[in-house]
Amino acid sequence: MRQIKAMKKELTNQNGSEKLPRAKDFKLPKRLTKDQKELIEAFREAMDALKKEEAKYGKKTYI
Amino acid sequence: MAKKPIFDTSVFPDYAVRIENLLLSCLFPTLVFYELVATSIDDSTLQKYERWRVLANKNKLLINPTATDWWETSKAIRRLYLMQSEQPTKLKSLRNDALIARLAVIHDGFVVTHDTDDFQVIQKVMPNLKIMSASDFFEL
Repeated sequence: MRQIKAMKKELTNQNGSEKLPRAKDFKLPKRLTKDQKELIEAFREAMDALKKEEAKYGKKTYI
Repeated sequence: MAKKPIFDTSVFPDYAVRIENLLLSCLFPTLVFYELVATSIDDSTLQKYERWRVLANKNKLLINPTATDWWETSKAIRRLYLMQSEQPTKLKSLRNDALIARLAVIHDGFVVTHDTDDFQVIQKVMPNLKIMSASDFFEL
């Protein structure tokens, strides 16, 4: 546990003093354009296909 | 304006649902599509990646290395080569990550990855590179 904390601290130091945002800091806009809606749908379908492939063939090693 | 997250390829399958909620705030390097496409098996999956890529481009979220990015990245990897701190086989395996890192620096983003060790190696020669582990970013 202490080692993990030390590693996290080291990573923070390597990023300087800048505080980077986290996932919770980002949100989708309330109103989406047609292109934005289509992108979200296409992303969801691509991720479903990726997960199905991983379930079928195993975890991927990216090349 | 906050820096934009740029996800390394291996983060996508593990955090797909969470990424969807910030899809319009992140950028997609063409290198990520390269890695996804190169390791896809079914044609139907390839078609879905193609649609995602086209729409990411239409929404101006697709980022691609220019000739200058390739040049500067090769110079960065050369610095690592001259430092002799990593094996040449390791440096060869860092090519895509180094280009993703370069795109993050140029487009005012930061890399979210499972492989912080690899990006820390690149950070030695790209000091402006910002990295965050996926577990920290999603606060698990």
